[in-house]
Amino acid sequence: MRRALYTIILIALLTIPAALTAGTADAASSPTARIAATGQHPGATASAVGQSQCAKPLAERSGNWLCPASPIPASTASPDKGYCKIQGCWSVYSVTKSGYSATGYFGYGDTQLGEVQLYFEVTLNGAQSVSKPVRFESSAAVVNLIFEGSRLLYTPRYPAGTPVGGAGNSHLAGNIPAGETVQWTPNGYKAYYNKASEQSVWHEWTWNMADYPGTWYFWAKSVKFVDVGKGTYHFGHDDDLGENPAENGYSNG
Amino acid sequence: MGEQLLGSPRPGHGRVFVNCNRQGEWWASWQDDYPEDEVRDGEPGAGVEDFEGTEDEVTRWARTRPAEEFFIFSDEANAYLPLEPADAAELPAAAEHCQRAERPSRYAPIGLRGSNNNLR
Repeated sequence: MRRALYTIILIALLTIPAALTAGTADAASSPTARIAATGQHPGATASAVGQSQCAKPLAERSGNWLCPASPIPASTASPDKGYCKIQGCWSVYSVTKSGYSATGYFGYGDTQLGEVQLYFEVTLNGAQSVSKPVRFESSAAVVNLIFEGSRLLYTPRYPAGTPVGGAGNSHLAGNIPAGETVQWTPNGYKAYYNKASEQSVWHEWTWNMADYPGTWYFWAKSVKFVDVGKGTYHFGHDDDLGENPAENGYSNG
Repeated sequence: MGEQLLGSPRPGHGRVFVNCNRQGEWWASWQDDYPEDEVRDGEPGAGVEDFEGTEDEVTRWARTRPAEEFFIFSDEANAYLPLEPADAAELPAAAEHCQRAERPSRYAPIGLRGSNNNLR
């Protein structure tokens, strides 16, 4: 009896992950469904999966993976690049202008499919944030590229930020040829909120590959900005990031 | 999910802000927070109206809003400065506020407006 139970558990453990990774990009990742799921907590549409593959040699990897590879591999500050971690670089250009850039490699199994270059810039105008450009480029053609944006507020209860209700938005950029730089058009992402003293802007890029299952994702939060009075907000220093400022990986949805 | 639910600014209220990004794109935004005791559940708590365009178009739009206060961000001063009425000052060229570092500002930061003449 006990042996039969162990057998059932073993079969479940072996078959559930396979079932989760089965299917085509079209079947697994309807962009409409993904857009409908946005505006939740950052990362709610995906969980950090596949990162363990990055530590392995390419030949030993399995399933989907996305590995960040921003220029400076440690948490060091650079006067030109801003504050860099492996997940990207955050720069503050003035008290109302800040940018984020990142590079990542994504693949499936022992095949590296492409390299992505990501960038967004946030300009503050009073209590309004304008994210433009929000940019994406991949060395390989991708399908169903979606840009998402959300305004986050921070409190002691939410040290990683929580979305401002009703302020999320998304843009389906669609199928993107290799090497083409695309932006959130026509006007990027805008949000207005002045009821929290500490805030940021969150952006996520998600995409599929025509012949592979799963959805790759990469998200990052801007440098935090604070209320300085008269209805205006200012960015802090380029390392003034909330908890968990960037994440990437893949989801099965 | 779509555009954020916001109302319209009330004439005589709110602030107009003008800023540009590092690509030289300009925005103006008229922002008016409604009194909390006048906002019912499910209604927007603020009125916001935006405009995008060239620096001239945006500053013209900003100056013609019936708002209470007007500001323009200066990269040079790294601060919001008062946006002067069109007939009260020579209009700033785009580069005056957008990514200019060399020339001294003709405008004082908020709170120092009275010392403008000293900067000219």
